[in-house]
Amino acid sequence: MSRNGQLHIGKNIRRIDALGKVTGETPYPGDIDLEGQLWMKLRFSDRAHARVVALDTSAAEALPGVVRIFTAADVPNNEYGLVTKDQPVLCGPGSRNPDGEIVRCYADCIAVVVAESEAIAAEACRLIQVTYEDLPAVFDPEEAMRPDAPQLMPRYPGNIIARYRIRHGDVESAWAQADVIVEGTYQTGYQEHAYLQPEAGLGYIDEQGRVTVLVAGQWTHEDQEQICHALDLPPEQVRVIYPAIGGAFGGREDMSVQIVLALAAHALQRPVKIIWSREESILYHHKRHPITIKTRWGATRAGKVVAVEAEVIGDAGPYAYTSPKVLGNANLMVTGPYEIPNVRVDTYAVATNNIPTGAFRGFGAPQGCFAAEGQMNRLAEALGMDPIRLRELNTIREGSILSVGTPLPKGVSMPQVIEACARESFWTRGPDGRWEHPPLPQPENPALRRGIGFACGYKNIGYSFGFPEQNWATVELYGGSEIEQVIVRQGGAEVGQGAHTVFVQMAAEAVGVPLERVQLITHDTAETQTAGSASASRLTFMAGNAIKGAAERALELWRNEERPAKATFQYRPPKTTPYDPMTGKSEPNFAYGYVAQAVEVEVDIELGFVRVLRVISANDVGHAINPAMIQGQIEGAVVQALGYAVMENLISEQGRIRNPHLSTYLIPTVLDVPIEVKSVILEYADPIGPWGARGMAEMPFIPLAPAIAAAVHDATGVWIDKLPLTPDRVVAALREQGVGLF
Amino acid sequence: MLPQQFDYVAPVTVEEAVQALSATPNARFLAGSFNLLIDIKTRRVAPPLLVDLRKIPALHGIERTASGLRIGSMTTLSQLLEDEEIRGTYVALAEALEKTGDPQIRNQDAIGGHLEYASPSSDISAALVALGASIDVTGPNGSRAIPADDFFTGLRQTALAPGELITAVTLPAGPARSAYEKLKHPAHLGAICGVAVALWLDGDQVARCRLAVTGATDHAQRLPAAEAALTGWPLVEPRIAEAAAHAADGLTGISDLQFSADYRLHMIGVLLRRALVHLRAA
Ligand SMILES: Cc1cc2nc3c(=O)[nH]c(=O)nc-3n(C[C@H](O)[C@H](O)[C@H](O)COP(=O)(O)OP(=O)(O)OC[C@H]3O[C@@H](n4cnc5c(N)ncnc54)[C@H](O)[C@@H]3O)c2cc1C
Repeated sequence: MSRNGQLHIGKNIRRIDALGKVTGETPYPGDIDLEGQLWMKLRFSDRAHARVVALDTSAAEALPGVVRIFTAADVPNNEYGLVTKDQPVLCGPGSRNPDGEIVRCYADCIAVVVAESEAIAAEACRLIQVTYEDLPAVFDPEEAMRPDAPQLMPRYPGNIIARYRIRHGDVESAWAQADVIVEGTYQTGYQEHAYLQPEAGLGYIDEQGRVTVLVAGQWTHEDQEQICHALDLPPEQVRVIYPAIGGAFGGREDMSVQIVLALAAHALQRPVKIIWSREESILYHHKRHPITIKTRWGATRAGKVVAVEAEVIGDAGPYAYTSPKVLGNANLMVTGPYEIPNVRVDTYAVATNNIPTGAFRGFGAPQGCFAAEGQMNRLAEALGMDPIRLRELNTIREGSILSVGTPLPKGVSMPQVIEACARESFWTRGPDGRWEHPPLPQPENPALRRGIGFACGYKNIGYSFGFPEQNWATVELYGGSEIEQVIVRQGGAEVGQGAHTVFVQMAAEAVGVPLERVQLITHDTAETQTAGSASASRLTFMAGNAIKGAAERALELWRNEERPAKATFQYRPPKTTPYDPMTGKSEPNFAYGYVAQAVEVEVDIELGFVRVLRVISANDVGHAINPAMIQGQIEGAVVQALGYAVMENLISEQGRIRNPHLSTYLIPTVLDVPIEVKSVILEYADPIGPWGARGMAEMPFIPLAPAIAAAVHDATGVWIDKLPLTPDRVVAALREQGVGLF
Repeated sequence: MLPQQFDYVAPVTVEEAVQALSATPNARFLAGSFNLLIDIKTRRVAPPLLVDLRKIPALHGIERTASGLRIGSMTTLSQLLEDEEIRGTYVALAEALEKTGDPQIRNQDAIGGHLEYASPSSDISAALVALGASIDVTGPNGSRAIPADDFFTGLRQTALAPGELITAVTLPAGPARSAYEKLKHPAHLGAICGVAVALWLDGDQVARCRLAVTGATDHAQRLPAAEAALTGWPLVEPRIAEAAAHAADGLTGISDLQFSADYRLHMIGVLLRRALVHLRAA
């Protein structure tokens, strides 16, 4: 039994999906075949912005083995999108939706080819003749905001997909109180999700005549909804099933192959399969937003931040995807986890003809944090103050008022997390209460310089800004005198993070039975109700509360002698509210997770390579349901964020991705992993989390890049405000400042 | 992707190999096959005939000659690395070999195939230029020796005439000291930039030197400005700094998506300095 008398939670239970995955027995979407299946290949745009004036499919259709070619005219309701249905499923003549013949980026799809084999489908794709009439394109968000810029869509006047304002206190007069002001322009790059499993799926008609799509996604019911919308079908006729999902990180929140598979299976009444190559995956699914943040922070000599001003411009690509939410989050995060009395922020999600951008672990927080923590570290330098001390003076705490004018939900642990991270890394508190750290030993080789850096952050758990938030679970208890079997229906997606194991642990705990008695039914719209997505660090929190609620109700029925005892429960957290358009006033979120990180790096000041040697990551997880998996999430997030910070450099030229391969888009390998990643797991219960648990999977991604940038500054004396810190950029920045041996 | 069909022969003499190649347009010699098979699979080339050189005894082995060393073109990089004399006398070459790819690559790659491919990120090409090697070739019109200085002529371009077979690489007497410094590409392991240094000393003076770069430029070549800065002086810090500062003078850099030409050209000076400081300490 663990700490609080719990049977199954707080323990390193072996993952229920481990054996099948490590032995290769578990099928992923690409592994599944059905008799008589056809193959699909997609023809994408060859232009960044153009009108498709003609489409000649005759040569392709004449190719032996080609079964059917679908174009815009074949899509009943030719539009889709996660927050706004603003993207044609297929672009071309005959679209039933207005402007459906326009391609607005290279990731727009023009035709779907279905053939007897993958090779024939690919050949037919090449044979499709597309005639374009080019339209003026815009690739730079700041240019896109100018009045004379080409307009991408009537629904986004001025190319603004979303804009937010925060007006808090009186910034103008607050500058007068500031003894020190630091300014910076922070730029972050694209990031590719690079999950192990490129997009794949199988569409078919199930035994009940439903159009069924087997695919890897993050939210079965949302996929179903978008398929229903585009095909004009009722939900009873569309089914979405997820077999194993090979990673997601936000990259599977938007549609890839779902709608086209359903379209083809529905029309042909035969199974149709598609597997994207790595190249297709990189070229055609959305990326993390490049964001430029111009910001100015003022503090008193004593170290109190009195005013912050920021302008946040994110490149959304032509369609919304989740950009309004991501930039909404950046808008809040750009002032960091600090209580600042005077704040003015202007944030824009801007339409361009680049690849669409959307959800990616951290969801706007990493970009906001890069600017906020960059500014804090510069302030510390300008004030001659230890960075930990400066944070202690300004951190949000219980009862703090945010920039949006409302208090944080209860359970704020930022001060404790900062302190724990400092103590567990390089700092000690001296006798006078000040933080100090011994000088770092330096390598003998004068080209190698070591430095340390610190950054912290926080992020919402669950959906924000009034987006409806819910999770349904059903618990069914079977047996006679004792409960012999527990069936849990819970649709939350296992994207590799370990959610399903945690669901089983929580269900067994709530019912009070051994783990083996719990069986999970999941990932199937025909078998479960909506769970919401595997995103926003929300599943443990949301599904946990739903499972707990359903279990309590089922147990009550069980005690009343009902056999089997079945209960369904919908968990709804406290309501959130959207930003006020003029002031930003809102109750943006119902719960948060808190994180702080310290890093040690070694910079080769001649070659520009930044090696991350040590990362100490302190995370308040509320209650660690499965500590080993939390450690896995921390280590995974650290490595992914390390790639974001120093390696991953996706290059887009005129809207075209130049490096759509893992040989040219470099992600961390085992050789890049730090010598040490220390996971400091803190448990300050969230008052409304299940057993006090908070979400945590995004948080360890968030402060790493600014912590690394601070460590590079500590090592070299140079601030670099543009991510990633590639050798090329580091050398250029150091040479500009005259740092180097030669 | 499956390769297109091709014919295959494995002659046992140089003459037969040269003849077989000349008889079929677009035929190719096959050495370790690493580059060639990739190019065939990715459809960059489609030779109707491969002439395998592995069965030709005359192309194998390392021989000591009156003036230095003769290396048969089918000698693998691993065999070179095991050779005592190369490790002792031609240190720049040994260091370049050590830093080439991984054991699997070195076990299979033949020096002749490596040189013909003339990859801009090849490590040993800089070492061979610095050490003053020459490349022996035999073609339909007879045999000749091409100095390494003149062998590499451009991006994947060499001075080989059509149909010529590399039979050997010869090395003159070794220099007093030599070294190779490399900045390894994280994805393909080849050189982002590599610098080879060979010094002939007269007391503590640099009587003569040969410096060569690879990776930063489209082909391996000498660094004349840096050579001039070192020649006739003792190997002291100001001379080293001067050589490094002028190392990239007059050179045109190459780039890929990760490493710009500016960066690579700057690395020539960085690596040259590292090599010279290391040699001074040695
Ligand atoms: C994973 C990997 C890592 C690598 N890392 C490095 C590295 O770190 N540093 C580096 O320098 N290189 C590196 N390489 C390149 C490697 O060394 C080359 O693949 C190798 O040099 C090619 O030699 P080969 O014997 O395989 O030639 P082949 O592929 O057999 O032949 C190459 C070309 O030479 C021609 N040819 C072969 N022999 C002769 C001959 N005797 N006369 C005339 N023409 C001939 C062939 O027709 C062909 O056109 C790497 C390669 C790989 C695949």
